[in-house]
Amino acid sequence: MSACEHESVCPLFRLFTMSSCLGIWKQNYCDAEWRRCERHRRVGEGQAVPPNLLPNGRVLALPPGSHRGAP
Amino acid sequence: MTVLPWWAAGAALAVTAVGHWIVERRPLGVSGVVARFANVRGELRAEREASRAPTGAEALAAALAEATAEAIAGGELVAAAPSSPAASTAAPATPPGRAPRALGPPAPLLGHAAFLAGLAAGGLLVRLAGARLDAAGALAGHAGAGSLAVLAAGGLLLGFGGAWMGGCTTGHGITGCARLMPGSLLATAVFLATAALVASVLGGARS
Amino acid sequence: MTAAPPARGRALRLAAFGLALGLVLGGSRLADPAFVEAMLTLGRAPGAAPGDALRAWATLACAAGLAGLGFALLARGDALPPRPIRRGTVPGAVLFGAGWALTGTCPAAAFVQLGQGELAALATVAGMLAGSRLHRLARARLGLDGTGCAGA
Repeated sequence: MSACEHESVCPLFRLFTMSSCLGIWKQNYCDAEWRRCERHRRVGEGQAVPPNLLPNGRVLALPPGSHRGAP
Repeated sequence: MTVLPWWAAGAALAVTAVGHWIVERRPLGVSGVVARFANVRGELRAEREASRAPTGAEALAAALAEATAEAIAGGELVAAAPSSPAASTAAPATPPGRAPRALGPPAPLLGHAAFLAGLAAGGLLVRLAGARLDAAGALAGHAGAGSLAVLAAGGLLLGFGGAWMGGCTTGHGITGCARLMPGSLLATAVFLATAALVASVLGGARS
Repeated sequence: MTAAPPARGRALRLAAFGLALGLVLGGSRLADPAFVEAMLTLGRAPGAAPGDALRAWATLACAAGLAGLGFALLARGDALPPRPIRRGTVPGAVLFGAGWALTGTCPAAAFVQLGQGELAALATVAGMLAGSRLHRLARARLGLDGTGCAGA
């Protein structure tokens, strides 16, 4: 099955490739079910996609009011 | 009246294009920047969403680990048998002493607004240096009667076509062709040929 | 998705790049529709000065060639996003070329013109914004191709 066409510009794809445990996202979405990827769907709809949106639609975010990690 | 000779302009364009990649780790292109401003609300919403992301490697790793565990528990992710070697770096052969540059994050909307403002500022400085457009209202003269409508229509074609082919004269014509990207080479050839054809037809219609 | 660099610093750098591009396009007259028309008609347009067309083509060829050299020497092995041929490459380029010939203006040049005081360029910019918005609609509703522009 062909891979997702946005691989080269997707910030999450690079993360998924660099870590062995995160590779599971790449195996499930980028390499296989990329049509179900929420990021891919939003790009298709012409929406701007934040880098912290995961393929399953969940957003990586701290709860409002909590401190962000030290840079 | 030309202020810059062709070889200086060509060199400056090349330096700007290569320099932009080295400094910003983004390919130089204008149509993509403009397209963002056709969706300001969406872009700002995405930026707000992104600003909520945990910063710092540890916090980010923790958040990702938690999200991954949840997705596995929820059945959205299926742990397949390890296929290719994990953590494959997929990096092309590197010259000794330097890691290859990867694509960087896109600029915030403010940055892109500053880029467009910079373009205009460049125009202003050139005008102040005396090199104004040759004919008074050169644009109006170029587009002929009903010029504003023609310019808007032409702009519509530029905007739609640029988004459809994914670039513009700078993005495809300079950056893409310099890297010999097949899509850029084809796109550049086609838009140059089309533009030449349409210009000849229009020129003939006007004279 | 590492910590984002401070927005203001990046905005300043991008303003500098925009300034550089604007100065070159303005100073070389590539932002001048009459010059572009001379280039596209190979000097046969009514307003073309002798040597304009050659100068214009030489500038573009020089830019692409030197950029190619620069990338090969300084960016060897870098992961620039690939630009493969897609369904939208040819039709998009046809429309773009038509718009370019109609206005004598490319997207960057429109903003340079605004800086030079050509308020008519506002019509061009408005058209460009509407056009890209229309494309996003067409992509969502009609499944039109185009991953959009990667953008600077």
